[in-house]
Amino acid sequence: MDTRNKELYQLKQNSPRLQNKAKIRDRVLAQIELEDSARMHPKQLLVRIAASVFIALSVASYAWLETNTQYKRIETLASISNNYVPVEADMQCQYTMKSLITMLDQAGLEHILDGNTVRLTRFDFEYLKSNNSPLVDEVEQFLEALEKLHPQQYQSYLHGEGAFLTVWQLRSDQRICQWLN
Amino acid sequence: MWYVYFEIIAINNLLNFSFRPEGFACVPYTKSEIMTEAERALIRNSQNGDKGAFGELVVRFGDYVFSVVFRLVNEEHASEDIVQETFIKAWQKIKRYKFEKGKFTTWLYVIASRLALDYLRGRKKNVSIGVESDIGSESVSELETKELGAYIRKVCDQLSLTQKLVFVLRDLEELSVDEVVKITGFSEKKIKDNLYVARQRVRVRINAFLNS
Repeated sequence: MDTRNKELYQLKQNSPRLQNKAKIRDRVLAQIELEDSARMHPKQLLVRIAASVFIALSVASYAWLETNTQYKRIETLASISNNYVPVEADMQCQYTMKSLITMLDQAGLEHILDGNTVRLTRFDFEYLKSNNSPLVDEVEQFLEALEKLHPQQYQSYLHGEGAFLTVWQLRSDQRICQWLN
Repeated sequence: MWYVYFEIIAINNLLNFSFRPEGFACVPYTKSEIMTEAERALIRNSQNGDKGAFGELVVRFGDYVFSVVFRLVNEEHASEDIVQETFIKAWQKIKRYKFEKGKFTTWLYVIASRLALDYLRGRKKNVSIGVESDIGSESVSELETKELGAYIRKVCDQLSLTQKLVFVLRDLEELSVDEVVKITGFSEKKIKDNLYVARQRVRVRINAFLNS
């Protein structure tokens, strides 16, 4: 190695250097610590969100269970005491009932739907029978359902006063539709 | 002052069209060539979250990073800040470092050079007039009174960022072309083209100074 290369080698060993490595190390480590502690914050936030969601779901589940239990309790008590709590009729059921009322209306019983009340009397039934209406069978079925499900209204029908059922009752009582079908 | 002398020698080599004189390749220059088993262990421990081991890496590799950064930025305090930032970023990404993909120093240089270039870009925006006009307006005789090292650094500041980066890494830090490719992400051709221009510009300036 000639003198020049030796000199160059020596100089290479003396490239720019940090004056205080320990200071830089301490600053780097301090900054890392700071960033690590700052990075904990989003984690904590995530935990809080998860906890909030869990609590919300728990409350919702509890509320649903309570409501459902209460509903079942009322239903059970009603069935024991013969006070039936009607189950809301589905769309198909409502359509069937509406179709029957419309056909009765078209068969000459225009008065059967009075506002929001359906009123069926023995004279109406007799009228249908005398005209050999194809609706007789369906009205008979309806009367059978009425006897079972709304005995008071059926008694009223038998005594000539007529059975009064509101549209709401017909729409909300799934059992009448099931009977008809 | 030692780095000024070194740069004088480096530029002298440049003027003689000999960046790596014959025989220099045989010099056992171990700056970033060999990674010891202890250093590997420190890196592995750091990857496992050992801050103490990482602190040791800062001590071991701080000078290498500082050398590159200082030659690019040419400001001691700013260079220290960039070195600090480099190691903080290195800590954040150290799990991504793979031994088989390259040397740890090369990986650190990638981070450091990007931060240094960002700093230089920011500084350029803040400085209204370029350095070239300063030097161009000064006569050579005026420059005689100033430190040659400072002049060389000013000459380097006249280079574009790309030229400066390539010049510092290739000629001052004496990294291989492959390493420069890895650090800068430039193609080999781009590196050679920029290096050629950088050498020419530096050579012209230094010749003018020495002839005066």
